[in-house]
Amino acid sequence: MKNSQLYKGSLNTIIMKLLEEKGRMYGYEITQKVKEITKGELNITEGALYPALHKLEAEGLLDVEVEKVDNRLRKYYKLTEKGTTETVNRLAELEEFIKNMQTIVNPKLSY
Amino acid sequence: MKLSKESIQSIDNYLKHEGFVYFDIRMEMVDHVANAVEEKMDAENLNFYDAFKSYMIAHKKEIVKQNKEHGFYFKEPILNFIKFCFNPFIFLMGGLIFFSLNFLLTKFGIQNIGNSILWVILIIYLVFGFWHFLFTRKKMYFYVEKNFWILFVFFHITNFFKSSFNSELQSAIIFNSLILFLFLSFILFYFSEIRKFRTHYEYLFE
Repeated sequence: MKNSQLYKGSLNTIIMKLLEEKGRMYGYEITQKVKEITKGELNITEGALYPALHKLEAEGLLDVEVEKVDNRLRKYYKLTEKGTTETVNRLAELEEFIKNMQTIVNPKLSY
Repeated sequence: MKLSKESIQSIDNYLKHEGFVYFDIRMEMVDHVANAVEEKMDAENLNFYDAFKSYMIAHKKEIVKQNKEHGFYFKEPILNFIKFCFNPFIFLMGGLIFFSLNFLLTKFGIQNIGNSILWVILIIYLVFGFWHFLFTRKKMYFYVEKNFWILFVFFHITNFFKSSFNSELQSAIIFNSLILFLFLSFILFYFSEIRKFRTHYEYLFE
């Protein structure tokens, strides 16, 4: 991930937002999707992604499914009911944060 | 280009050698590395060996880092166990344990009952530990292992405090009830987690 605390703090919300859109995804797919959306600007590393996914799973926000794909096992993640509700809350929180930051950093644009 | 079974096995062996001991964590990382290597082989027209070597040189540090993060993963199992204890059945079990031990310790004395309870706890610990060993003998799963240490801690707390709390009737009733309650609740929690694990990771047990 781009070496910034700003991005790190939003990683869980990014993951949850993508899962809300796509339904279910596996780890590598998430990294590639983020890279694609941000045109290579944001690169989520393995060291940041998997601990975040496992934590969300342990908190009951994500559910998992394991399937055999191309000679190997693949773990898919999807939002639980609790996770779907939490995604809405976290996105609202993130939007509020962005709006406030914009007001502080560039007051003219925010009006 | 899709990787062969042998190439997947090479990645698996490499990660095992790098300290990925838990099967559920390793299998996910094998898939991640395999995806990245396949993409590299296609994009740069490389063979498996060169693509794998090149990927690991660039990403080894991050991959090993994510594996180490699991070593400090204590908060969630404890929180989940506490949440599990907040249900009417567990409360009822706690009440039954307390009233039974209150009756038994008052009627038969600390020496007779207090020591028997410690034996019961030791037997539970050994039987359960053996079952856990059999379950994880062939493959270790992080999802399962992350909970087991809680019982280990309970057992040593019991041993450490048993003589000081078993000297008076009131403290013996509270101490033994609490320990027995924690042990039995934990075992119920552990099996509920195993059931959840087997449902989510159904494919591993087919």
